[in-house]
Amino acid sequence: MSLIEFYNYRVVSQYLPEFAWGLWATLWISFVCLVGSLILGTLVTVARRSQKKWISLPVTAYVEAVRSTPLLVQLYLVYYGLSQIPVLNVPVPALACGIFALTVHTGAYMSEIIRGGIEAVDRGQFEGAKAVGMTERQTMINVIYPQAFAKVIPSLLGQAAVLVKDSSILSFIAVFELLGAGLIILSDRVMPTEAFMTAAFGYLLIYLMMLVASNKIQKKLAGNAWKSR
Amino acid sequence: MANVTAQNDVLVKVEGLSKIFKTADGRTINALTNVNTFVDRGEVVAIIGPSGSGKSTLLRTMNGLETISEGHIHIDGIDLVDKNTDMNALRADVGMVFQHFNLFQHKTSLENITLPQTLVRKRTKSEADQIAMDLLRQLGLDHLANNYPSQLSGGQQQRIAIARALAMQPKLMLFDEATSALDPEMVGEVLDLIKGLANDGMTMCLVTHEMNFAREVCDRVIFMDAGELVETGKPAEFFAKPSTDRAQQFLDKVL
Repeated sequence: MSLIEFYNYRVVSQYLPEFAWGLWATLWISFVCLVGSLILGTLVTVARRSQKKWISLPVTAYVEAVRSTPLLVQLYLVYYGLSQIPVLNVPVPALACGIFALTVHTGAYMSEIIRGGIEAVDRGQFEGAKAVGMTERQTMINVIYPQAFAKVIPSLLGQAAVLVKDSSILSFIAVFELLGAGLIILSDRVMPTEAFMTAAFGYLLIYLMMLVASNKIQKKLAGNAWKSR
Repeated sequence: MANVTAQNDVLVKVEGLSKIFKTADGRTINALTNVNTFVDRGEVVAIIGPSGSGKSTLLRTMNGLETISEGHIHIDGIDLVDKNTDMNALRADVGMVFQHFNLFQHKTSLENITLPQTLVRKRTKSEADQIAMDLLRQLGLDHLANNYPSQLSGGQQQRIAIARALAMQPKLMLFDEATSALDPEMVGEVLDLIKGLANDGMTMCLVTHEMNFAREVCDRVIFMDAGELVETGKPAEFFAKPSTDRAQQFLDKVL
């Protein structure tokens, strides 16, 4: 069996523009969701640490709800549910729903990672800051968060890789991205191997790019003397 | 407020202080029971006693790291129990030195000393830098200004931690077993620094296991056992002949 029988690269080459477009869509959607989920995750972590139950309880419920339900269900809920809300009588575009659902989903996981980072910071750091008269807020911003984030950067990057893969699920609500490009080959030519293999290559490519970026970031951090303990 | 400051130079006044901890399984532990004492301005007081005697707890209540269950502490006339007391402002005036230094791990020595000054004392960066570098020079540590804590020896870290507290120009310095985590050869450099502060007239309370240091440097010894202040006295008299059996038993073990 020659390669072209197994994987018809001639056909695939005809669809390269679609794949390039899909790759780009996956990249920017993931990037927007990554930034959004990091901001959301940080805010959620701050809220969960609040002494006020009416702040910390609903936020905890959100995290647990996201973690205990499938992403696809969350996506459908946002996609079909958001248009039911009276204020938003105009149908919300699928792309906006997808980005919103992915951000809310990933934000919950990011907040858990950040929380783990805060718990990994030595108690003495809190006491050292308190003892010189820093307020709770000054302590968190200047002493705790910088150390917590540095501790969990590998985990945050891992979650970012999951996010890129999860973004393929947006094709369920007809958002065009990398998997969507593959689905075009599937419906045009009924060539599942070409469709999914090429999409898989695309995700692999993104993963490799992230790996290079993550190595660079970690090297930069490892260069910081305080990390080398 | 006035009636306390009027008693000429008492800086710290501890009255009927009790501290009750609740454990996770609902039991209560009396860490401190009805402690009464004082520290005069310029006085150096050693707090000694067996482990679990409440000496660290007593020290930590003095800057609000532990809450007070009963009784009062006044520092320079300020009531720590009063709900209107700004505890952050008070802590800025009371320096604390910990057993494990608690330097900010992601900051250099210099930044460790400047950060509290800029955040809490609202000094400008250049003012804070100036004060920090002056202190580092005095302590002979200026060559370590740009090192991170993880690059320093325990003794160096502790001296930087003391400098961080001194930069706030505190009225009172508290030392919680400041030399207990140090390798033996590093203890001397930290004790020498504390001795220098005593000579400069700094008011200090030290929880310590260094009995020779307490005898040499301190003006007064407080002996605690089982959460109670058992006796207090001049080091020369206390170490030669304590007036209680409990203190005598303790000294027999440690000396």
